[in-house]
Amino acid sequence: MKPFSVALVAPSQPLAIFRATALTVPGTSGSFGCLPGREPLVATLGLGLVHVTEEGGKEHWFAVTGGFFEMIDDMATILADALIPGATVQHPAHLRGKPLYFRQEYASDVAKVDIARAMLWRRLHPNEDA
Amino acid sequence: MPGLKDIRKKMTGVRSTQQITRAMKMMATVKLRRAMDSYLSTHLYLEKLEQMVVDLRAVLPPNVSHPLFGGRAVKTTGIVLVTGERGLCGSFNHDLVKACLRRLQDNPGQEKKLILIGKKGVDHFRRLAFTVIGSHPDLVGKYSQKALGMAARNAISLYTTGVIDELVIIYTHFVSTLERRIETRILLPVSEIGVGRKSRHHGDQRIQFDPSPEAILTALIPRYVEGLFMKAVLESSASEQAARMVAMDAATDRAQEIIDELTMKFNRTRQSVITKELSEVIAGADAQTH
Repeated sequence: MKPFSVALVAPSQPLAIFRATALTVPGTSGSFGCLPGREPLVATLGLGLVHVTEEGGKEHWFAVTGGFFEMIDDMATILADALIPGATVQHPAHLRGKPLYFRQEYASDVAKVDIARAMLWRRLHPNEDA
Repeated sequence: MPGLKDIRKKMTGVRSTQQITRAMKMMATVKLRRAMDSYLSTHLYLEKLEQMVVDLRAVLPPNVSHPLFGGRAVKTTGIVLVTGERGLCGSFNHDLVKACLRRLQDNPGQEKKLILIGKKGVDHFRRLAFTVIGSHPDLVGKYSQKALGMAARNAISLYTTGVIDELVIIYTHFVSTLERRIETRILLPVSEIGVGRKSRHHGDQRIQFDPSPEAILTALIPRYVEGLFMKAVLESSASEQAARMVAMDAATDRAQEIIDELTMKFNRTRQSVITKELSEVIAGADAQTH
């Protein structure tokens, strides 16, 4: 399968670029996947996880608190309000052992970042007690 | 004429000042790199947002409206002034304050309200009789996306609630480490986005939108203004560090010049003291033999 390029951009944060074979993003109306050759799409993003499968099969996880997504001519761009990379994520102490229920429209930016971090950490460490 | 002890004391003082200016230059260099990284990623984010707005507008009817597109008479202008967090950076802060005062004197019929970012601007305007509606002394130099975003949203809400009819930002545009330029930009109402950019949508291409293009544009425009605000603050921060780096470099060089001058003076004085002592010894010896 011919890979496509994925760029994750957020203000004041380093750019992440991949040659990917599959991508999953959290749209405001639900998560959706993208494969090479996808029809052009512009969408808004909600709080959730981004999953990138690189050309060699290596997987990368990110959490976003919202933003925009665009895929045109096999170039996917994620413009995130805040981007949390899986490699450096830590579980927020005050959310340990708590369910992650929230109303997106009422959550503050700080709360959104904490929930995104907790979601990502729990996804990456499913067997560890949060 | 100062004695050897005085010159040595002065040299020690200048040398310690030079150590401080050298350390400050190194700190400014590190901070500049950090500020540049933040600024460049925000710049890239804005470029992508701008392109997205251009792409969306290409598929939307030309008369599509947004609360931030404006169209009302300007009675009150909100001026955001982005100054530095500290001094010792040449004329950086002074030039900004001067530009702001000039802008405050423009259009006397319009009411002007100030939003101050950076400790130096807050300190300066505290003593003057201007209406200050926002003050963020600690925002510059922290590169906190949360704090910057919050300040930007507060400024936007002042426009949407009708407290101000126009939002102008005065900041320092980073050209290079040695060059900077003061810029005044109208943030709100949003008038020109992506001038000179072309939409990437081809006529025969079918684009999916989730949700509708109008809803995406409604969400995009405030983010774009927030991005512009953040970029201006980060750019100013980078310019401040560059200005401090240059000023401290010049101060370190000048201190070295003073040390060289003092060393020369010290050697000359010491030589003259030795010569004087020798001539006294010779004169004494001569007096004894004759």
